[in-house]
Amino acid sequence: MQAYFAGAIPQLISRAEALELKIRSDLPADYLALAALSRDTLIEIRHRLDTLLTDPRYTDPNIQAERLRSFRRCRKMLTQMESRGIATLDRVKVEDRELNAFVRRIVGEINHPPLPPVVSPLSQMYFSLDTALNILFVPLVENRFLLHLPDVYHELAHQCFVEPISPRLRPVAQALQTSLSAWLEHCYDERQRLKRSRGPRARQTNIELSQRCVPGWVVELHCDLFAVLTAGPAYAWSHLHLSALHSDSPYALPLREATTHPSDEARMRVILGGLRALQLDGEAMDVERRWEELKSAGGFVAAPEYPAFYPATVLDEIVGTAFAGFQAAGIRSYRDTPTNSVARVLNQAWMRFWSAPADFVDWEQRAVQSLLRSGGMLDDA
Amino acid sequence: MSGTGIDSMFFSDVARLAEQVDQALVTIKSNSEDESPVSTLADRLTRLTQDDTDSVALRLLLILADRECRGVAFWSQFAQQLIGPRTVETIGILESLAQSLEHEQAQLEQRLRTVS
Repeated sequence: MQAYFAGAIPQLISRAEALELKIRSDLPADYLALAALSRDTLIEIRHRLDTLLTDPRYTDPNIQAERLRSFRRCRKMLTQMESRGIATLDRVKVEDRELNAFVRRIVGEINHPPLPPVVSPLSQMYFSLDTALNILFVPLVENRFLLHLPDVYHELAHQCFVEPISPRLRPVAQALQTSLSAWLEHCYDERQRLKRSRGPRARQTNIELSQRCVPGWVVELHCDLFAVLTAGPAYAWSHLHLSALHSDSPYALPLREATTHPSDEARMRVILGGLRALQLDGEAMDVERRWEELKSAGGFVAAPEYPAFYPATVLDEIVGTAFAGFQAAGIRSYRDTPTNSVARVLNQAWMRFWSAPADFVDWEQRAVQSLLRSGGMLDDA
Repeated sequence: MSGTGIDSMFFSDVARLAEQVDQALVTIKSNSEDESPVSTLADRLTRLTQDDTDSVALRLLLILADRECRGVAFWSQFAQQLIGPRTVETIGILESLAQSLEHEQAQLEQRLRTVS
């Protein structure tokens, strides 16, 4: 391995240097935080690689496993930097900056404490937030359409759980912890109960798998509720739309490996609970009716073990817990935003979609110009 | 479907913890005089297992990384073992944790590549 490392480590250092040279000094102000973070990360990677090359302890044959793992971690970090951070910085276009301004506007309207993310239209599939680099990835032409934009609110919520937690967001993190503890406790109780009653091994395995999924699921559900609070019914519609377009089944269950996202049905249950908590019972009924129609059209049915993965009482408790945390942190409900706020406009878009679906595409083209380019109301479109 | 926020968060956290575990292993195996990487890891594990910690993300990470579902109490005791008299078993557990973290990171990298 000595000869391999002697050649491979300098090559990776050279790659890190090449990426660092890609960071221009004349970037617009909205990219400077990402540029600084990228540069610092690349320097850290180079430093680590240099240690792996020169620290005499790493010549010990007993330490080659650690050396290899550390080397691979550097490669992984470098790949993330190349494909995400530096790729974003390397293409800065007018429409990218319009999206940055759009997200900054949302952040201000909902009184969201973290710094606005940089938006990159390099996503290969859907919306995602890289919390380590604070980049919001969206599909290439998403800036021309409105119906998925409520998902931006969900993505922003992920920033609430990034360490270190800022003082204003502590109630949000504590609420997450409460939901997490409640669900894990439920899993623990179920495991104990099944052990005592010598229940079927398959059910015990399901609970163990569910326990591994719970940390990710709880975060996603809290992010869903953040989006309900800040974007209102538009987020519920957006979730229905996402599920209709992308989901294999709203009742999907993890098979062997843990999944990061709960089933669409569990998410919708929580979203509807959120709408009702906001006293939007009429809107919740409308969404629920369309949701049932969608599931019926697809012929989707829950497996018998579904309730064991998604206990209804735990899901229902999450709604109140998450909302209490967001409200204690001063996150602004979409109902308290001005009539021309982005959230209001996105709700208007969904109302228009349902009231005149056949005309929606033409209307949307005009409306999106007004929203993204001038920040105006849709009535002007 | 939406959001790799949790994945990118865990990706960084897993990488950081994995590096600390490997640094501790290098220190122990090479009998380095400076034992600070071991105490840093012990501190980290202790912090992760405290009930009143606000490091939610890292606590989640520990649960995810603990593929054998050993639980928080196990790691709390292990953190104490690390700074006390160490046995062959201590090194074995550390090596197993390092491999779990590497596996977790590989999965996260795969998800970041496919979902985003």
